[in-house]
Amino acid sequence: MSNEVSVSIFRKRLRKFKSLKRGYYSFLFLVTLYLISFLCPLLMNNKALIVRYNGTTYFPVFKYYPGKEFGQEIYGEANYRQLKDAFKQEGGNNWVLMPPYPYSPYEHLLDLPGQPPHTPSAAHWFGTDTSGRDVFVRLAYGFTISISFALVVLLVDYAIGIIVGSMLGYFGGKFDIIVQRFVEIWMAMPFLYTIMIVSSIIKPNFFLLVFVLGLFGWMGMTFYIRGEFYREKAKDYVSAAISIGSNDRTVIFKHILPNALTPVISFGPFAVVGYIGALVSLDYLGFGLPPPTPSWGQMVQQGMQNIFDWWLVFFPLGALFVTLLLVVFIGEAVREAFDPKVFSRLR
Amino acid sequence: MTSYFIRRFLLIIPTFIGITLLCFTIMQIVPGGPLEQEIMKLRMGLAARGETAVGAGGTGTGAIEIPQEAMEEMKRFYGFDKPIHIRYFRWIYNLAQLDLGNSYVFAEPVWRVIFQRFPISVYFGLIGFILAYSVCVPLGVFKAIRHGSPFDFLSSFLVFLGYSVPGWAVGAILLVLLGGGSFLNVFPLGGFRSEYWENLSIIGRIWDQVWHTILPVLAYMVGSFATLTVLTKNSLMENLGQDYVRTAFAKGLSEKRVIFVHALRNSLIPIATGLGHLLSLIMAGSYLIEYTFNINGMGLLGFTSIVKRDYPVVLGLLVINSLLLLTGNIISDIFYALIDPRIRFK
Amino acid sequence: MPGNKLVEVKGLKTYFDTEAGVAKAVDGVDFDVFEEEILGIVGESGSGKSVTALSITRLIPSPPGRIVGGEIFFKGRDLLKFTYDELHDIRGREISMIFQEPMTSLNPVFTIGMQLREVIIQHEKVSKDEAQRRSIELLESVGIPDSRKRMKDYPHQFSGGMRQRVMIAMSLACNPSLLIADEPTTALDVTIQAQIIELMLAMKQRHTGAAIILITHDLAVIAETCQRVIVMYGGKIQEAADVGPLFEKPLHPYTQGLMGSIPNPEQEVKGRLKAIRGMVPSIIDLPLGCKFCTRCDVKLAICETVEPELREVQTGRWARCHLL
Repeated sequence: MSNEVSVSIFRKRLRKFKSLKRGYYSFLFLVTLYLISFLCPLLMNNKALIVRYNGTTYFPVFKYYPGKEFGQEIYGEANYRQLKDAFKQEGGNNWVLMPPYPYSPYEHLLDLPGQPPHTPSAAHWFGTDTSGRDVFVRLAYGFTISISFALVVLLVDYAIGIIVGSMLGYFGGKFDIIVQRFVEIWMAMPFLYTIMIVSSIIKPNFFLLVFVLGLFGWMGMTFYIRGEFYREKAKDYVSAAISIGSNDRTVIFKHILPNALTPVISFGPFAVVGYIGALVSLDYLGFGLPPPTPSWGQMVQQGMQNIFDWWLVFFPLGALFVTLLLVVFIGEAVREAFDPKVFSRLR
Repeated sequence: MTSYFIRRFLLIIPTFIGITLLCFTIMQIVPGGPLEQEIMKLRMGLAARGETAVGAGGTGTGAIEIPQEAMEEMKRFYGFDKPIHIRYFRWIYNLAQLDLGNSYVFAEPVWRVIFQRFPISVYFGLIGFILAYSVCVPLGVFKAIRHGSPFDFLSSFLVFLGYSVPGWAVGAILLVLLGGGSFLNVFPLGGFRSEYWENLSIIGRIWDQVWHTILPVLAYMVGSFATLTVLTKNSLMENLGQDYVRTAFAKGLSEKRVIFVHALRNSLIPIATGLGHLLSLIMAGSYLIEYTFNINGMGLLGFTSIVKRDYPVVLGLLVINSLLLLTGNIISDIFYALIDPRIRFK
Repeated sequence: MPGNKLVEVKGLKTYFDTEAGVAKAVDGVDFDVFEEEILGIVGESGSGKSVTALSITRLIPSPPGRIVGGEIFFKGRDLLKFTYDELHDIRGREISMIFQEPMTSLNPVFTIGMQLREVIIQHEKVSKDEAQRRSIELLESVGIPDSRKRMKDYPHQFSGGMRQRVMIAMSLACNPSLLIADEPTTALDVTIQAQIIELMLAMKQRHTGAAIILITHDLAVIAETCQRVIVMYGGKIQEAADVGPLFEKPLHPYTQGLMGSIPNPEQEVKGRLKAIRGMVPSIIDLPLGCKFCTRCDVKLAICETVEPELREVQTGRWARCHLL
């Protein structure tokens, strides 16, 4: 006789997810990388972390200091790399602490030997692009942006999907038919093309782009959830809940939703793949995030126009591939844990 | 089945109206609509005659003032004084006659501009489509039968590739690797045919065409590798677990017959219904792949006309694309009804 | 009257691998089936009766199930050692099965006619026309009117009862020696149930020599149709006897509980229905000793630790209980 305490289904699925090494480790790796990437301004920047000058400590990473502040004969912001070398040569008590990778995604490095774009080197691991901007840094910053974008759109789509989809599936009837017609019309608009058109008119920033993507992409999730709700509504536990007097809201959110969400959760990671792909595609064509935002798509676009400079294409697409591959691994594991399909064979 | 179809066709009407209304609305909102087009032409015409200094570019920012009466006259002439629903119906009327207006950039009727690029998009789309189905469906079937085998495992790598990398990205990488530049020079950088195609012999022409076709078609197929293969495999495996398969085995049918006759027929239903979208797939032409390979098809046209603000073409393509998607859905439904006897014989 | 031994099951063990452990669905089952008899296997859900039947034809879904041990002799040859080709030859021709769910047991995209013909064509060298003729005859014999026309219909155009008739027709098409019916009436209305049982009996009359293994949880059906009965619980046979003696005087406490829980409309005093207390234990977690001990009212101390053997406690009566 075993004395196993009854574990909630969610906990069980979570345990199963953790046991799937490939997906679980991808998940940990990606999340860690993502969280670290928020520290990018501290890890990769052309602004110094700490400057000790004439007895005072400055934190240029957080505040703007003109070059004249530190005795540099330049206009505008201090050049901290130069400052660091200068202080070192002086050998006094002044020192500069730079981030580990001392370049910013926005600065144009025109003082390197040769013409941009520069091939990868020890100083610039992935080389520079046609404007002399360091590729590695732009790649890293682009990582944060791509994933953040996908997560926000995912949230928006889930929110709309749950609210609208649950109502459609639960209430059904005429309401469903009418809305379905609208959705059919909406879905007949070619997704990418419509966004391109809208984007060319309003030239969106990050949040507007999220809005536009959400505007034209909510139908998939909503239809999915609607289908689940239709299925669940026919089941007995719903009739039971209604018969004991639960109101609609309780039935939807407390009873049906947890069951309907299971296949929807497993859909999430693949939706993320789609969103990242859409963002990169839009950037690639030039209809995505505005320059000079570091975006992978924009880098590939540049790369295709300078096909001899292979690093401009390779590294962004490589990063894209690895990132999406990890998300797919996560997605497979989530699906295996939450919505496992047992395939039996007879012979 | 007849009632099913009648209902389906009736439902097309509101959807069709909705789509055209939506496109029409976008058309009105977009800057550079038909009226402004005429104003711009007028202004440029006046400027050409040296009347006044014109503002930068052809965006109608000239400093020319057009007298109010002339504006009113033009509005009346182009029907802009009429209420919006009359304009809508006029537009639909024109649409039915394939009159989509004239392109700003090409000074030609829009439909002709689009139609010229039609064969190229169809060429790539059709080849990609045929290859995708002939490779991915058998692959999916094989993976289902050999589930868990090394073959399944290895081919899954291709599937993951298809999931995680967009087709155009694969195309881009292949171009960098094989299209000259820093690495190998096996394939051309793009385009449909070489410039000197006319000068080649028949064999030379065929080979040149094929040479230009391989990479773009590969890029087209990448997406299907994931979706189609997995769909086929899952569909077949699901069916292999169904009760009727157990009955088929209990009747003593051979394994081959059970899998390839009983189970397969059922599992092909969701795949066959995808054929309906063949139409829109072919016609739309992938913007991204044509952009990457510099193929002068409808996709690239769509892209460049947005960039160049050639709104008549943009909107013409939008309407065509939408209607094609709608038609594709309907054809899918028709296929579904034809293939599944549960719907055919209600 | 029963003749020679048709089937000999010895020590059959079929296990299922699940996440929570190994489920011993059938754990050491021995019984015989004689020619021309109707043998009933009765038990609750989870007792292992269906799995036993499926094991005979080796239709156990392969992950997660596997037949781990035992022998099943059919006409003297061990089915568990057959190659798949030999198995496919026997299935449908010598041993047929009909299943519980008529709604899903037929292929929805092929006509009834096709599914009937293919059984005949598979096993016998006849022309398509001959197969067609015989199929039409079969449909008529199972009581489907207008059979020639209905050959062109699809399964969804038939009601549940009619589909089960079609299943019966398919199973008897090649005159098998053994028909295994796995809960053929459970999914049907009570009135249709009676019709189907009648049909099965009538068909058996016509197909001389056919034996039937009837699996059900419905004691009434057993009483009406079977000659011998096996009672299963917890993956093992708990009692086996001829039908008359079993119903008159059940020996095993479980069988007694089953009989006692049948409502009797002729009962004078309307008391409370005597249900067996407790629940069927999970097959992953069966009790150590007698599988029924957790629900038995008359158990001894030894029942919890030592599993009783299946012994012939009287002539022709077998039971697995320490009390006997």
